[in-house]
Formats: sequence, C-alpha cells, structure tokens
Amino acid sequence: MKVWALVEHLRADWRSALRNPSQLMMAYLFPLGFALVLGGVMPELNPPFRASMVSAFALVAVIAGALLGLPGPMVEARMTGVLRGFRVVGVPDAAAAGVPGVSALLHALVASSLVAVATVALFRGEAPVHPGGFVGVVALTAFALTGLGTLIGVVATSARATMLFAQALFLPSMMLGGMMVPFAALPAKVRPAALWLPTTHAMQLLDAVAFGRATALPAQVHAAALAGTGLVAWALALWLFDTEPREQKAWRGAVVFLALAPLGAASLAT
Amino acid sequence: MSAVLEVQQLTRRYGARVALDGVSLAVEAGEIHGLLGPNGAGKTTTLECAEGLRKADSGQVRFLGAPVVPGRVPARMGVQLQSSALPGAMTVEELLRFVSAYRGAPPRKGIVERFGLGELLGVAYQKLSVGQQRRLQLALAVASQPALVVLDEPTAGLDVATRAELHALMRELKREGTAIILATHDMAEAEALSDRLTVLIGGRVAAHGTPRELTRQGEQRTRIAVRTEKGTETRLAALAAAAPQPSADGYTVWLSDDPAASLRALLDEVGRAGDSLVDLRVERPSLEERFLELTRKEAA
Repeated sequence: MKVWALVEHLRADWRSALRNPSQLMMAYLFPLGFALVLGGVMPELNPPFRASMVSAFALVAVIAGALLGLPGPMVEARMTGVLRGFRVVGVPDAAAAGVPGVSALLHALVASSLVAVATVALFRGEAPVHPGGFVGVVALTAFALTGLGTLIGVVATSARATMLFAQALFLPSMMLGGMMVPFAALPAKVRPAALWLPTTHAMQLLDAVAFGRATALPAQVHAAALAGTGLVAWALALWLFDTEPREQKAWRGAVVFLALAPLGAASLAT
Repeated sequence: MSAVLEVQQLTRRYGARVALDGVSLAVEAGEIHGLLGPNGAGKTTTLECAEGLRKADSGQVRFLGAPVVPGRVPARMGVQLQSSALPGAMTVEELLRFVSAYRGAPPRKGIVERFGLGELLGVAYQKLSVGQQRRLQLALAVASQPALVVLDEPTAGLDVATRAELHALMRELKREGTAIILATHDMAEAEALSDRLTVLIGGRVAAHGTPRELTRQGEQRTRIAVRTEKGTETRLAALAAAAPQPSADGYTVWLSDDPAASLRALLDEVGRAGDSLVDLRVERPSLEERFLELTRKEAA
C-alpha cells in the first residue's frame, strides 16, 4: 500500500469530518457542550466528582466521536456507492475500511485534549499527575472505541441498525462505565457487567496511570482488556469489510459483541 | 489492432437467474465499443466482471493480455460507474490528489482545464451539479492515462449541452488511442460514437458489429422519399430493388433493399423525363429500429 496515498486519504478524510455537520457535532460540539454544562453542575451536586471529571469528560469526547460520529458516514458511504467508487479508483479495501477510524481516532485525541484542558481551566477539575500517561490511556481507549465504531460501520446495513448498535454500547457506557458514577461506587452485583464496557477499563486505567490511584484490577489487566478489544474489533472490521450494500444478518450484528470478549475475559477474571 | 480487453465465454448466475450466458467481446485500442441492451440484459454484470468488481462463474477476462483478478480493478483501466459516487464533503482538488496518490502517478497534465474543473477545485463534490460530477468522474477515470476507460451510462440524465461536452471528450480520448467501452441506453449516442457495438439480450450476445453492419443485418429497409418538378416519380410503376409505399406529405415513397441501385434507377428515370429533383430523402434504418427488432425477436 502506498504510504503517501494513505497520508493524502487521511488528510482528506480528516477535513471531510470537519465539514460534515453530524461528525463535527459528535466529535467536538457534543463533548464540549457536555463538559461545559455538566462541568458547571456536577461538582456542585457531587464535590468528589471533581477528581474524575477530567477523565470522564475526555472519555465522553472519545466515545461520542467513535461510536456516534464514525459508523454512520461509513454505512452511508456503502449505501450511496462511495465505497464502490473508492474501489474503482484504486483505493485498497483496507484503506477504505481503516482511514475513517484512524481519522476519528485523531479527532478524538484533539477533542479529548480540548475538553480536558477546558475542564481543568474552567471548573478546577483535578489535573492528571502524569499528563503523558493520560494521553497514552486516552489514545489506547480511542484505539479500542474507534475499532468498535469501525466494526459497527462495517456490519450495520442501515442508519437504524447503526444507531441501535452504537446506542447499545454508548448508553450503558455512560451509565455504568465509570464516567458518571465511579466503578467503586457501583453495587457489587453490577460491577461484573460494568467490566464488559470499555470505558470502565479506561477510567480505571486513567486512575492508575494518570492519577496514581488504586484500581479494582491491576492496571495491566485494564490495559490488556482495552488493547485486546481494539485488536479484535479492528481485525474483524478489516476482515468483514465490503464495499457493497447487503442484507442485515443477525450474526453480523452479534460480531460487534464478539469484539467485547477481551473485556468479558477481564470481568470473568475478577 | 490489438485487443485491449478480451471477454471470452463469460457466464454468471444470480441464484436461478442466468445473468450472462457465454458473453464474448473484444475491445481494440483506440475504439469506442458500445454495449447495448435492455434493462437486465447483462450489461452491468459484463462490465463488472471486466473491471474485476465481480467474479464470473466461468469464462475469462483478459486486459492488456493479462487475466483480470476479481476484486482488483487493473491499474491501467479507468472506470466510471453510474452506481458509484464520491465522498460528498471532499473537494475536487482533494479528490484529484487522493486518487492520483493511490494510482501512483500525478494527474495527467492539463486534466483540470480540459474537463472544465479549474474553477471548481475548491468546491465539495456534493455541491457540484450532476453534469459537473460526471465530468469529474470521467476526469478521475482518465487521470492516470488508462489504456481502457469503462463508462456505464455516463450521459444518463444530463442536459443536451453537457452530453455534447462529454461526447467531445470521449472522441478526444479515442483520438489519443484510448479504448472506451460505453454502456448506454441512448441509441443515438451509441450510433454516433461507437466504432463497434455489442447488443446483449437476456445475457447473450444478440448482435455484434459496426452500427452500419447492425442496421444492415435487420429486416428494416432504407426509406427513399422523393419529389420532382414534373412528378415523374409518381408515374413510375416500379423501381429497382424497392417496393412502393403510400405517399406521404407530397412525397413518393419506396422501401429499398439496395438503396444504391434504387437511387441510380430513380435518377435515370428523372433524367430521361427531363425532370429535376425538388427534394430527395434517404433514411437508413436506425439503430433504434434494429434494436427494437432484436428485442421483439427475443421476446417472441
């Protein structure tokens, strides 16, 4: 594969995402708005939230861009013949499948950095002790979530199916994934289920690596769960990628949840 | 001339339906090869197999002497499909750069000016008119100097001026030695542009040849309509190789199997009578008439 072509493709896709109102909304406007609104409210209602709000808001930026912003345009591109157009002009399938995810990952890093800085500056959120570790964990989380987002974009065959798959991961992550309610504060019966969510591991890993706090499992387990999910999701997405529209089959939807197996393994390990 | 594209005995089924049943054709360098057929005749499947976008059940496709590998469009084949699109938010300039980068060659010199894209470089694909989008797709298809350009209904839905522009561009490419395979429903377009035609009906090659050969092979005959000063033609009992038809609009009409012989005989008679022509119309059977004849036969 030609490296220069990939760079050109990535550059064009990066800019396109900024011109696409729904992607711009999910990658930047929604997480910034979310941080601005909840950053003003949550510490007043729950002062200990100040300790985790930088991590939580940064992860909201990652999950919104990766799960709500990324898959829709990929499905639309398949349905409108753009992916077919890519194939006829010589774009390799791996590039057509992977570039939007890489572009979303880079946008997620920019958006989460902006949100983190704004949260510290405007709402006195607790800043990470190890900023490098913070960026590293956010990048690893973005790798896992953009893998899942790309996989949804590959297996979903309609806007409706895309929304269903994305919300099936997004909503539980927001409620149980450690961003709004710390993992330690969840009822004991709910915790194993929470460990099936990427954001739980991301929040725990941020606590360990960026803030030097104790976590539920060793940091290596959280890191392995995220990396494993990312690798499985990306591998499945590249393997199942197709340029042509097709009928929705139940097994294709189930594949999305197969990618969560490494997270489930961590849950079982507890 | 050497064949740029050779399609041999291609067959393809979709479930129980036979889409292609032994289709063969060859496209020579510097020729425009028209591909005609009613909807569902197998044109798009033939093109997709030729491009490597679809795998045939049997048969062979060779491009520049090498077999076409399914799943990979050959580098020296430019393709413009009606069923494909480009990312709406990318600008014309971004698309040209990005496609050229994947093809591994800078866009051919002057392509922007030649396709009238100069003022559109900063415009997003989704904001271009349909005609501009087709021009850009054609520009991308030929940007890396392909040996063959595959065009699937490139002028469908375009206004007359844009269609004429694209026809001129196709003729230019042909003059430069680029082979073109053109699938179209527009008979006038096919007749005017194509050096040779293949007509597909029901997944089989129903006819093949130059537009002239195809129309000659049909049951339709050349219509000769004439008016003279003194009305000599109205008094002719018979005309060589021609059968009289009811007069129309003051013209005497014959249908001829051999227009050259019929015209010679007619002009001799007019000359002998000291008469002179007011008007003479010779209308060869059109490709459209021949096409309809073929489809009627198939249906029967």
